[in-house]
Amino acid sequence: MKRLYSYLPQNLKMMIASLPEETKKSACELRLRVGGVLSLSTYTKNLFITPRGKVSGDIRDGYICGDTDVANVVSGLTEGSVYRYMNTVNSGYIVTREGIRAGIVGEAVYTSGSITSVSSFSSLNIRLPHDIDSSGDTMLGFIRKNPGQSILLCAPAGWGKTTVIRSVAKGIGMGKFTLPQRVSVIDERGEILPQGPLGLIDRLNGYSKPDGIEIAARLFSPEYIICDEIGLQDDVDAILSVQNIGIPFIATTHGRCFDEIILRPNIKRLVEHRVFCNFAHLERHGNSCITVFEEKTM
Amino acid sequence: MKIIGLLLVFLSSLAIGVSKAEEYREKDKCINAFIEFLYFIRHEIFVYQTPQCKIFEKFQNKYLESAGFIEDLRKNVLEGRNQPLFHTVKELDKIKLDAETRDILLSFAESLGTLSVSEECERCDRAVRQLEEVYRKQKEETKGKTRLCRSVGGMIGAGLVLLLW
Repeated sequence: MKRLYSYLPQNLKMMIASLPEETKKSACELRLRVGGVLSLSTYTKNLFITPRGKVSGDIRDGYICGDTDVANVVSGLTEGSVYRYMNTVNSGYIVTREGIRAGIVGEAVYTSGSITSVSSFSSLNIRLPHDIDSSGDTMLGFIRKNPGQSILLCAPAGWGKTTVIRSVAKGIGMGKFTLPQRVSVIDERGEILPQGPLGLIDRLNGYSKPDGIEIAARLFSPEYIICDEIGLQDDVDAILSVQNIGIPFIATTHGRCFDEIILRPNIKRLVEHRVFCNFAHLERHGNSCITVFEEKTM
Repeated sequence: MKIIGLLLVFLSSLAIGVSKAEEYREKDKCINAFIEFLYFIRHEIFVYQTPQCKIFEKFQNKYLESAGFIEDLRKNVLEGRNQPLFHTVKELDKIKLDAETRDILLSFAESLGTLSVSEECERCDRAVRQLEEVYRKQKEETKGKTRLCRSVGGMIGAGLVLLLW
């Protein structure tokens, strides 16, 4: 939560700094809406922040955000330079240098069927990062016992898939349980490894998954390729096109379990082509998630 | 001694006239410096999409530096003030800006950093055009005024010399 303070205007910073420590630790998202209540989401509930920096379950107690509050936070997140982030703002998000991701919406302007500009920002959803270096240990243990195999991790949105693969990327590239190995991380939104590459990790920051996979596979000879949230046709085509090179993938996708994701045609294609033979999902235990590997015979 | 004294009187009067003329030329230098600043901002945004704070760090201009403008601007950035350029122009006291120039700069600075690249460049171009128009009008006035100041200074000096002689 403290990493967020430098992006907030003084009034909001004081409110959030006054929150109880337990609330700050369990918070996943901070939401601002023009004319709406300042709210915090944990894994299990929505809380409202009062003007005095307390939390309440009653929406009527919450601080009402003005347009200057949202504008000031956007200015903070974009270093006072929205133009620099316009591409991602048009796609509905901002990722700061430290990897804090915020969903952002306002008034969209369309030209020839696509968004060319967004102004009068009205809502922000700031994902509060929780860096847990040990979150990928289960997967790293599996990789140590089963080297060179692809793994597909699934979980619903906001459960920590990116946190896990960040830990896995660092673990492989820096040699947490084995010797360091070459890893290419296709970091489309700059949120997997915000602080830059470590160890033997090559970070393809801002590259689309199809372009990044092609470049990594053909030019960087990685021992693993890591990417987040696969599922689109283009992603699957790119993965299949480099399958002959034999590079294992560690990827994530949205879904609760294997039985759910296999119903999607694109994921099914990957399974049928035996790109992925190992499947894991995240299970929630209180405020934390653990990685559970599923026994699937392919 | 008398001749030296009279010469001094004449030269002092002329010097007053010339320094008054320089004051008018300072205004031209001031607007020129801000026009250069806006061109720099436009270039950095259009070509590199440099964040505001880095633009202000990189910019160099002798006139604005000696007037303390750049130092105040960088100070506002370090203090984390929102819209640092707007606040710097608003609180500017070391440079005497005329009302029109000030309004143009404030209007530009108010929304700097809140728009897309193309919109920022358009606003830069508009502000530069407005400042260039102000500069053009001012330069015409300045030409006449500087000549007048020098002439008046010289004439008063000559008049005093004749009186004292």
